[in-house]
Amino acid sequence: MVRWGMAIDLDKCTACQACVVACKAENNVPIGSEADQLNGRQIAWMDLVVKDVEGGTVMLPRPCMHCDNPPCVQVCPVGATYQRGDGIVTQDYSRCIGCRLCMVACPYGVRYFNWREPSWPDTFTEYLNPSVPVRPAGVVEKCTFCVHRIERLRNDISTGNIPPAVAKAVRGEADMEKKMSKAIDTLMRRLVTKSDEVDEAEPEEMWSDFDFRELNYLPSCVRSCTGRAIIFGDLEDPESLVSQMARSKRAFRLFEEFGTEPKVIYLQEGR
Amino acid sequence: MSEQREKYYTTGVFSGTTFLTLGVLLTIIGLAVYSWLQQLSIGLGVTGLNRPAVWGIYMANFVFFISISMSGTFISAVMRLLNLEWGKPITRVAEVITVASLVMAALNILFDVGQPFRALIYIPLFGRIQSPVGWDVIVLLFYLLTSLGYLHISLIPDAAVLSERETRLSWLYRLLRYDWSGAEHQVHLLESALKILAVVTIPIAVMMHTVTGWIFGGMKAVPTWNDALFGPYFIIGALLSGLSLIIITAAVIRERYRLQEIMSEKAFTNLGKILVVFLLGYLYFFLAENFTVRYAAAAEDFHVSEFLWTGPYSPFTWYILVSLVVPSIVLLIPSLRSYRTVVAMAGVVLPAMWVKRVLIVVPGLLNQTRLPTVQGPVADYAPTHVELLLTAGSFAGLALVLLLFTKLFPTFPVWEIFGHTKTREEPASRISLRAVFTGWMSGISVSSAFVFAWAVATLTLGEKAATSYSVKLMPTSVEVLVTPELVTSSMINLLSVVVLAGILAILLVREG
Repeated sequence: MVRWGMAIDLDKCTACQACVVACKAENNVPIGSEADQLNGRQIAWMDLVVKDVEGGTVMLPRPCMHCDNPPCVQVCPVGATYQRGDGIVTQDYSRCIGCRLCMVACPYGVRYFNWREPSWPDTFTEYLNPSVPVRPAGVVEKCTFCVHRIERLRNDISTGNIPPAVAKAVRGEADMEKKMSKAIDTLMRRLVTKSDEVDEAEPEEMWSDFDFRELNYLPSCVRSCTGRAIIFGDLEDPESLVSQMARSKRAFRLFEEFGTEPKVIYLQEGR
Repeated sequence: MSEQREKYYTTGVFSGTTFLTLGVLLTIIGLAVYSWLQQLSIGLGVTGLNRPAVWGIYMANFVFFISISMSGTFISAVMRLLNLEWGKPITRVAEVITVASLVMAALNILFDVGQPFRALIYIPLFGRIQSPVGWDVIVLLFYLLTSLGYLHISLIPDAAVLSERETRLSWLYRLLRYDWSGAEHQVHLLESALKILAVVTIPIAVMMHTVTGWIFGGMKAVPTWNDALFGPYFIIGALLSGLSLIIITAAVIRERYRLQEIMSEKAFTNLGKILVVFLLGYLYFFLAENFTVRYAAAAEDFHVSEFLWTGPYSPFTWYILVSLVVPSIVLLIPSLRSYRTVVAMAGVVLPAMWVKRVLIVVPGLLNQTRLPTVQGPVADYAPTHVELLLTAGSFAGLALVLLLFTKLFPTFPVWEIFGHTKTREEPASRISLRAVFTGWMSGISVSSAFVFAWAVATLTLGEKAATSYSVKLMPTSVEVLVTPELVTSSMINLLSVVVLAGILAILLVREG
C-alpha cells in the first residue's frame, strides 16, 4: 500500500511563497479580500509560517500534515472528513455540515471554513480548475495533497496514456499501488535533478524523453517550488526520495507531542 | 379549600401586561428570524466568527441552554424522589424550562453550523458514534424525550380538571387527560410512573452535561480545553445556572400569578441554601481549575490564564469571580437569607454564568495560534448584531414558551398540593393512562436499545464501513444512499427506532 508523504527541506526553501500561490490557483481557492485578511478569514491550504524565535525568524511552508492519526477525522460527526487507504486525509464537501469541530481539533490549523460563497474578481471564474470542486459557503476545506492529480496518474497508468518517463518507471511492476509509487518517485527525482526550464549545462539526452504532462502528476506546491525544497512520494517505499529524506538527521515533524503522526517531514536548517 | 383550589385553574387570561410582554418577545423573535435568514443567505460571514475563534457565542449559548436544562427535570426529579413538600410547587416551572431550553440549545447548534439543513438530514443518516457531537445528539434526544414524558404525565390530573370547563381549549385538555378519573389505581399508577421517570432522568441528565463538557475536554489542540475536569465542572455549573433560573422564574410567576400562599418564602430560602451549596461547589472547581493552570501549567495554558486574569478578557473574569463570591457570602449569612435576597442573588449569578460560558469557549480558541502564518489567523473576536440578535431571540423564545405555557396550564402541579379529586364525569377517551406511560417507557427503552446496538455495530465493524463509502472524492447523494454498509454504521437506525417506538406506542394505546 502506498503512504503518501512530503518532505520539506528548509535549507532549500527561500520562502518565496510560489507554493502558496500555485496551490490557490490549482485548487480553486477564492481570492480573499483585504477585509478577509484582516478578519482572519483568508483561505490558504498551503501557507507560510513566520515565527520570531531566538536568533532570527523561522519560516516554513505549512500544508496539511495528513496525519496517520488525524484528530479531525476522529471528531467529524458525519464522516465528511476521512482518511483514504493511501493515507491522504481529505474532505467530502457535499457531506460537510460546517460544525467546525475539525478546525477546533486540528493542532496545525490547516482546516479552513467558507464564511461566504466563494468569489473571484472579473473573468477569473473562467480559469477555474475543472478537476477540483468549488466549495459552497458553510463547509470546511483543506489541503488534499492534490489528490485529483494522483487520481489522474492512476487513471492514466491503467489506460496506458502516459509520458515515456512514467512508462519506463512502471514497467515490470504488477501492482497498481507499486506502479503509482514508482512513477511518482521517478518524476520527483527528475524534477529535483533537472529544472523544467532548459538548463544549458545539462546533456541533451536527459531531455530526450521529456514530456510536459509528467510534471502535472505531482502536487501543485511540489511542482512549483522554486528551490525544489518540497519532495513528495511514498513513505512506505524505503528507496523513495522522500523516505531517504525522512531518515535524515535533520528531519523533524511538527507537534509530535499530540500523537498525530504527521506525514509531512521538515528538514531543519543546517547550522 | 375547593374554592381556593378552583382559582388556580384559571387559564387563558391575557391581561394588558401579557399582551405587552408578548409583543416585546415576538418583536425580538422576529428580528432574530430576520437575522437568521440573513445568515442563511450570506453565510456565517455575517457573524464575527473567524479563525482561530471558529466558535463564538452560539456555542456559548448552546452550552448555557444545555446547562439550564439541568435545572428542570433533574431538580424536579430529585425533589419528587426526596418527597420535599416545599419544592413541589416549583417542579412544573422547572420541567417546562428544561423542555424549552433543550429546544433552544438545539436551535443554537443550528445557528452555529454552516449548513443547518444538511445537519438535520446528515446527522441522523451518517452520524458517527466516535464524534462528541454524536453523543450530544443522542443524549439530547433522550433527555428531551424523558423530560417531555415527565412533564406530560404530571400534567394529566390538572388537564382532567380543566377539561370539565367550558373554554375554547377544552378539546386540548380533553386530549391530554386520557381516561383520568382520579380513581385510586390511577393515582397509584401516576405516582409510580413519575417516580420511574425521575429515576430514569437523573443519569440521563448527568450524561447530558458530561458529554457537553467532553466536546471541550476531548479537544487536545486547544490550550486549557484538554482537561479531565470538564465533565464534573459542567455538571456543577449546570446545577448552579439551572437553579438560578428556576428561582428567578418561580419568583416572577409567584408575583404575577399571586401564588404567595403556594410558593412560600420558606421554599425560596431553602432554594437559597441549595444555591449556596452549588455556588461553593462551583467556586471550588474554579479554584481547582486555576490552581493547576497557574501553579504548574504548560506554557500555552498559562498564556490563556494570563489572557483571562490580566489580559484583554480580565474584566469578564473578575466580574464572574465577584458575581460568584458575593452571592456566596450573602447567602451564607442566615439573617440575610430572605426571599428577596435569594432572588436577587440568583439574578446576579445567572448572567455571570452565561459570561463564564463565553469564557470557556472563546479565550482557548483565541490562543490556539501555534503556527502564525502569513495569511493566517488574527486573535480577535467580537460578536456582530446578527449573533447578538439570535442570542436575544433564543432567550425571548424561552420566555415565550414559558409565558404561553403558564397561560394554558396551572403554573404548579395543583394536584400535588391539594391532593387528587374524582372528576365529575367519566372520561370519554379510550386511551388509558397505563398505555400513555407504556408508550413513553417503550419509546425510551427501545430507542436506547437501538442506540446501544448501533454503537456496538459502529465500534466493532463500523469504522471501516463508515469511511469506505466516502473514499471517492465526490460521491453523489444517490451513490451514498445505496451503499449497504451504511445501514450498519449510521444513525438511520435511530430514526427507524423513533418511528418504530411511535408505532408501538400507538398500538399499545389503541389496545388500552
